[in-house]
Parts: sequence; structure tokens; C-alpha cells
Amino acid sequence: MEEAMSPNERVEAARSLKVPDRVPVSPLIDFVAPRIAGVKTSDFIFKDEVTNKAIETTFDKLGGYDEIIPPQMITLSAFTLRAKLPGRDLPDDALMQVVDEEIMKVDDYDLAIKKGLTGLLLELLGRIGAGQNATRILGLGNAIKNLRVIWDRRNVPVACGGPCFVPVELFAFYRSVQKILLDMHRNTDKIVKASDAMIGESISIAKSTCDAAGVKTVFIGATRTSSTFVSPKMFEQLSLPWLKRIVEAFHKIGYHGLLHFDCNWGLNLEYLRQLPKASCTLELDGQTDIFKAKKILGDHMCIMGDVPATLFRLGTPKDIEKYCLKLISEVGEGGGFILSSGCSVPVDAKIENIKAMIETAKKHGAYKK
Amino acid sequence: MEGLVNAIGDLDEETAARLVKEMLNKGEDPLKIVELCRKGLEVVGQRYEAMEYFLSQLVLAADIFQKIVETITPKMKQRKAEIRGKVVLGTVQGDIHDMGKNLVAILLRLNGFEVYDLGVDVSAKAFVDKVKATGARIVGLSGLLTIAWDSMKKTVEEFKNAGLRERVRIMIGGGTINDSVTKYVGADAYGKTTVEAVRLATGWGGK
Repeated sequence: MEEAMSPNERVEAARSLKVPDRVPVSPLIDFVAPRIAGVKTSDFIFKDEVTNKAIETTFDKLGGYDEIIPPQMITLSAFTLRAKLPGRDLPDDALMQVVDEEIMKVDDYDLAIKKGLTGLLLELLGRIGAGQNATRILGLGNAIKNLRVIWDRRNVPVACGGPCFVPVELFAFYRSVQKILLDMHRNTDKIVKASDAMIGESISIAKSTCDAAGVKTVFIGATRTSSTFVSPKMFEQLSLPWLKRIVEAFHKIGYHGLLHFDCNWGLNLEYLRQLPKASCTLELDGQTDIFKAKKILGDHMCIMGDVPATLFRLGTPKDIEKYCLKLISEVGEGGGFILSSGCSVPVDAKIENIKAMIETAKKHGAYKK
Repeated sequence: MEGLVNAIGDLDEETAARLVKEMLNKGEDPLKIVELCRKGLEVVGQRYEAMEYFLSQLVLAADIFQKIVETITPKMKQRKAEIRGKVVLGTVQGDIHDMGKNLVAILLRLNGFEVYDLGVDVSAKAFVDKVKATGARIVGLSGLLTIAWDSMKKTVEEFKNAGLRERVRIMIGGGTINDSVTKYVGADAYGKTTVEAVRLATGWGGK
């Protein structure tokens, strides 16, 4: 059946809080793609042409959807963090896993204050023996550009160009969870100073990456300053000011922010009203009450999510349809909603369940005129 | 005495450290100090449950307590606090996420359990072997990824095959775990939070 809007128009309408022809559907497909496309996970991480082809094959096998979230945003951590990688430390088809350990020491906040983001990252990459990955990291924009070129031909948007992290969230990757949580109590001033020292550079590097990719959306990932980990007060003190700076800087030049917010943000939702209206899409992973998010933020930013991993793995297509219908009717009401998986579709999801999510949006997601 | 309980409860490290020093100088029994700290940690746990405190405050409280224990250990001589029970803990095979597991280990120890932490990517057999070796009655299986569920299920099966399933209580935990996963795995219960895991273990006793 011919649809009234193209995927590009549909996603754009939802992001700008308008009412599309139907609810757009955009599963976060990363490590499930090699399984569906029949390629090695190791090749999916390391070979761009395999990544992009696997995404296309997966898209076609699932019957098509409205937006491509670049898996490079997720596989990037294979090059920037200490990780166990398939084809190197693990069998070819195993799932990549990041090792949570203290790579950055407490004194390194001073390094960040003195030398900024690049100085800090080069030092940390050197420590994990990943210095040679610098080219790969700097080439992220080009890798996403290659993906975008494929999808431009099919008129399907690519969800984001480059990543920009609130500094404390970036520190968390390298400090380990336990240490960053202690730092947030004991080294508050250092975090604030280091965040100030890095923010301008973080924004300008992210913009360059978005521009190289040719995608005017910045990926802003966050988890450790959610209410799963810290108090709303601490979020307000150590995360929100820089989140605002990032979002405002991009909004000013007409770029959108994709807030990939894992864990529970329930107590922080009100704060997000301080970001400019329609400047962001809030992507939730199932741990934040998305229905509450709609009530608090529905007139302010697009909401995206959140079919849980558990349902993809253990549920039936009927279960998926039931949950998606609830999302469509409640979170989708009045537009400003993109139906998606809660974070990544799990690697062992039942294929019929992913299809059920996509089909529910197509069959039952239409807005009445 | 109340001062130390309050200082820990309020996460006031300086006051807590000063009070411990004063008590030691006065010749106070180190085990009494540990007991007061535990009471303070109970306050922290209550505030966490009331959502006045968050995970970062639990981690901070645990760190404050550990530092106090380090200070008083040399004075403890051969005496040991009473053990509530033994717990074998680990992240199951195929998964290396250990943040939740580590926190549970810390909190269990603070609450008087002897914890055998097997680390990450732990095989079903290793869990069973450790239970056989230690006589532990509680097993905690951790995992963040959905692929961990099958390893958890396999570990539960391994206990059945070893004839130990009736002897141990098995709890699971991790970001994706809920009731349906617990049923799928065949575990006895799941802890949604680290504090809940401790409550489960305390309820089971584990002796």
C-alpha cells in the first residue's frame, strides 16, 4: 500500500513534534544484524563494507523500516575502550563486551583541565594500547557517510552523525562505574573544571563528525548520571549544565540531538524541559517509564522507544503487538513519537518478534486525519 | 555511639573517621565499632529504599565502611564477627559485566555474609564446584545481556544434575531480569536492586 509520507518525512515530522502519516518505526539494529545477514560479528565490527551490507540485508529481511541508527555508534567502543572483541579475544560470532575498569586515574582530571578532550583521549587510548585506532576514530564521520550514501538512495534517513558526550559520562567510561560514582561525591570540583575545559572541543569535534557524515543529528549518549545511579541533584550539578550547552549549541545551527538515554531517567525528566523545544529526541531503553515521559515531555520533545529486550527474546509476536499498540495509542498520541526497541534489539531476539514490532507500526500506527 | 551510626547514615566521612579513631583510643571493642557501622549502613539502605539516596550513595557508604574496617582490622586480633551465611557469586558464562555483581558482593560482605566471588564469565561447573567446596547455601548469578539467561539456566541445570538443587537457593540479577526470566532460568528469585539481593540472602539465612 502506498504511504502518504516517505520515511524521511515521517521521522522529520515526529522529531519536530508534528503528526506524521503514521508512527515511524526505527529498531536499533546492531549486533543482531550479523546473525540475520549471515556474516561474522568480527567482520561486522571491523569491516565497514560488511557492516553496511549487513544492515541493508537485515533491513530487507525484516521488511523495511523508517530510520537507520548507525551501528558504528555502538561498535565505536571496540576502538575506544578496553573490550573483549570477537575474532580477537572471543570466537568470531561472540558478542563484543566492554571491560569496566579504571583506565583513567583521579589525577587525570587535571590532564583534562590542561589538555582538553584530545589530550585526555590520546593518553587514555595509549594506556589501553589503542593508539593505532585514532585514525579509525577520526574516520567515524566518513564511515557513517558511506552508510548514509546507501540510504539516501532509498530515501531512508540515518539517525545520527557523530557522538558528543556530556564530559562526566565520558569520564565514566574510563574511570569505571564504581570510581566515577565516588568521584561525583569526592571530586566534584575537578569534574566541573574538567567538564568546562573539554566542552567546547567536544562540541566542535562532534560537529565535524556530523558534517563529515552529512547528518545533522548529534548522538548524545548518557547513563551514569541517570537516577539509576545518582540523585537528581547530582544530575543537575554534574551533567545538566553541559547537556544544555551541547544541545543548545547544535540547536542554534539547526542540528537535532538524539538523546540515547539508557537506564532510569524518571526523576530527571522535568529537567529536560530546560532544553529548547523540539531540539531533541529522547530515546529510552525500557527502564524509564516512557508513559510518564510522554506526560512530562510530550509537548516538548520527540520520544522514542522502548520495546524491552526481554520481550524480544522471550515474548511472542502477540505480546510484542500488544505492547506496541499501547505505545502507539499512549505515547504516539498527537505525534512526536518514534516506535523503537529499548536500546539495541538483543542479539538473540526472535526474528518474528522484530517483524511484529515493525508490522504493528505499519498496520496500526496510522494517525487519523 | 549514636554519633557513628548517624555519621555513616549521613555519609559524613570525616566525622565517622574521627569518631572511630576516638573510640579506638578509648579502647572500644572493634567489633562494637563494626556493629555500629552496620547500623549506619542500615540507615543508608533505608534511605536508598525511600529514594532519598541513590546507588552512588550506597557505593560511597560501602567505601567509607571499608576504610573503617581497614583502620580497625589490626586491632581485631583473631576475633571474627559472626558469619550470617555463605554466598557463591559470579557473572555467568558468556558475560563479563560485573558492576552489579561487585556491588552485591560488597553489600553482602558488609551485612555479614562470607562471599565467594568467582568473577566474570564463570562456567556452570565452577559454580557447582565452589558450592561443593564451601558448603554455601546461596548462589547469586549475575548477567546483563540476554545471552546470559541461557548460561543461568544451564547453571541451574548443573546444580540439578549434581543433586544439589534442593540444597541451594539461587538468585539472579542484571539489567534485563524480571519474573519471566526468573521462571525461564529456573531460579528461586531475582533481585531488582543490589539492596533487594541482600534482602533475599538475609531472608534465606544461608547457613
